Amino acid sequence: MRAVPRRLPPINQMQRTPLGAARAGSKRRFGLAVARTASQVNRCSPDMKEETMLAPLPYAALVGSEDALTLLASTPGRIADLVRGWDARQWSSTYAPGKWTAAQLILHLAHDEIGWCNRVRLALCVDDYVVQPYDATRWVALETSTKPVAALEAHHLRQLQVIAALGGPSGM
Amino acid sequence: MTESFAEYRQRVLGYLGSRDPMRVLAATPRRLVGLIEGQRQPALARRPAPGKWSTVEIVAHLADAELAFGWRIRSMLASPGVSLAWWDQHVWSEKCAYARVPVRESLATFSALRSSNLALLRRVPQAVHAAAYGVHDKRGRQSVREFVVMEAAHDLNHLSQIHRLLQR
Repeated sequence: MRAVPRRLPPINQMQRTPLGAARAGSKRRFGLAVARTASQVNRCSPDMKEETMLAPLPYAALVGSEDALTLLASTPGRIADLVRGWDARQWSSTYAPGKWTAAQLILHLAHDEIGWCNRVRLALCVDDYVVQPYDATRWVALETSTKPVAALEAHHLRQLQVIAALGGPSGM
Repeated sequence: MTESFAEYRQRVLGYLGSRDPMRVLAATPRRLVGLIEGQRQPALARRPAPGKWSTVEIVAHLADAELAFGWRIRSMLASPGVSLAWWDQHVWSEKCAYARVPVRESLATFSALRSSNLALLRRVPQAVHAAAYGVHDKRGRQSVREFVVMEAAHDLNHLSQIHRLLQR
């Protein structure tokens, strides 16, 4: 069995691993294998193929050197504090024209909970796992009418279990 | 002897019979609560045989299966033709330490995800639903409807296992 680190390395030190490199055999780092070859890319739906190119981890600067698991555990409470008492206008406001509303952003967080929890499990359990992208815009469009706070609560329950499985931040 | 997928499918679809799969899916969280409520930890943790899952492990598996179901139906509905990865439930149970997950936590997770998934399935327009499918690693082309039917049959299979386990 692959050992799971009790504390993940800072996100800006994680590596995305091209699949070929993961197959090359040497001990794998805790990172992500990303589709590169035509056959790997073909496992994705046609309109997602362009998303499978290697790119820098997009949110590394936001996490910095903080413990990622501790940050993840704190998010449900931070969102609950943020949205407490919001009225309909605030839920439907956007940060820029044409962008997701606050409600859609929270729905997206709930969706991403499904996405990353699946990915964590597959990465733990499958050798040479290739991360499969998903179309976040279409997922949100499918169910924009969901009550976003309820959805988020549902998926954060799952998150707590994943964190526990990974060893968890102290005190969990 | 290991059961093939075709044999498993035939067996669990027999449990479903002519029942409406959406009703079965909606009823499962309540039925699980009814089975587990008042049970003591030794009974919940008891395995029927070496290598077989206890109630604690079965409920953790149901929560993970619901997570995977949520990924799959959203992927199929949003991106018809998407590839659907097979996952090894026994490897997940070991690596994710199902035996150590508190059963009420698994039940809460399962119930919340089930509610979210059913809400999505009820809301999606019929045309989107009908066009959605995925290509499973081992089973080939599968529609959302086929996944819904199998998920309901899967529920009944595990409810029956838990019922037998807790009667002993």
